[in-house]
Amino acid sequence: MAGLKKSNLNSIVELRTTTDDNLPNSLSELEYAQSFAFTDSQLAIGLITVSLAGILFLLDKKYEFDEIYTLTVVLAVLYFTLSSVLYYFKSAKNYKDVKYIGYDDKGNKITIKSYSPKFEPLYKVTVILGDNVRETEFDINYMELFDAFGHFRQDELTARIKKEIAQLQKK
Amino acid sequence: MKIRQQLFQFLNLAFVLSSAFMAWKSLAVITNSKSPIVVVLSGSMEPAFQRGDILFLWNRDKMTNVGDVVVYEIAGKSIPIVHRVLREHHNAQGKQLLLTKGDNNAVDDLGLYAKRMQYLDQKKDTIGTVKGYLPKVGYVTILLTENVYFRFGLLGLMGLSSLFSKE
Repeated sequence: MAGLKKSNLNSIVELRTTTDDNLPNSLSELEYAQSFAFTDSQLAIGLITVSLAGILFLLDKKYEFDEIYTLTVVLAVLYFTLSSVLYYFKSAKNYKDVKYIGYDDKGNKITIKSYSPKFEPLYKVTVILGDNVRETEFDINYMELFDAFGHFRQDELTARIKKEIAQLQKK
Repeated sequence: MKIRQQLFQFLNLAFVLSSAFMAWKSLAVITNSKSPIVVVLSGSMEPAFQRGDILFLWNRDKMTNVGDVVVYEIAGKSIPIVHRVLREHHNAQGKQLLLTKGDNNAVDDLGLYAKRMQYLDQKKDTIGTVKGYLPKVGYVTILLTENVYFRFGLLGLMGLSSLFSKE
């Protein structure tokens, strides 16, 4: 997958994005199937929120302010409620930085969170097995994940995650 | 996965636009004014307000006092007018009716009102009473609407900055 695409080694954001994008590949190698339920519900809420604003925009063009006053209040309240739900999913401790949710063939859940500090070339990963049953945090240096040309090394990531999962399962 | 990423990107952009619009609409609902912030376009209220001042309006007062500055709109004329209340009286139904005049104008606004209209209806015609202002800041919008060079210059700058900014 990562084959020919090069990442800019001087941009932590780009390194993180590439690694995030390739996370599902590593986990499918480890025989996990990705679940999109969480992502899709976020998308659905987001699209509904934006279309509420779109509806109000069209109504606003067609009718006078006084005619649709009550409707405007209702739509505005709904809009800000849904936006705060989305904001909660983006920032609450349990949901923040979640990059992958998947299940193995026995139905065991795995959640992976990741982020990078602004000025350190580190991929900070949290692996959670089950619903907060076992949890581990570790850093991977981007030097290990990318070669000198900026090609992504999928095998390194897979190996590291595999090791961490194995250790977690032993606990 | 790709389609989800693209949808998220679309949402990010849509949220910037929609939240600006919804914030404006919420302000309109809170102040009960269809246009809660207006820019002064003419010099008719000098020296109180200059061209380019930004005015903040409130439209939930039951009565307007003589001496208050109101913004009103005449049906059929799309530009809102900012003038001071010169006289007021109430009709048999208790409706407040206003006569307005620009501080810098020689005569009152009778000539500006619609045909056979002698007073403003405080409920129906006013968009709000001025409660606060920021001097000169609104001049940007005047420049944008009236000066072609400024408009394209600004557009060009925005285009350039989007070329040079990463992510």
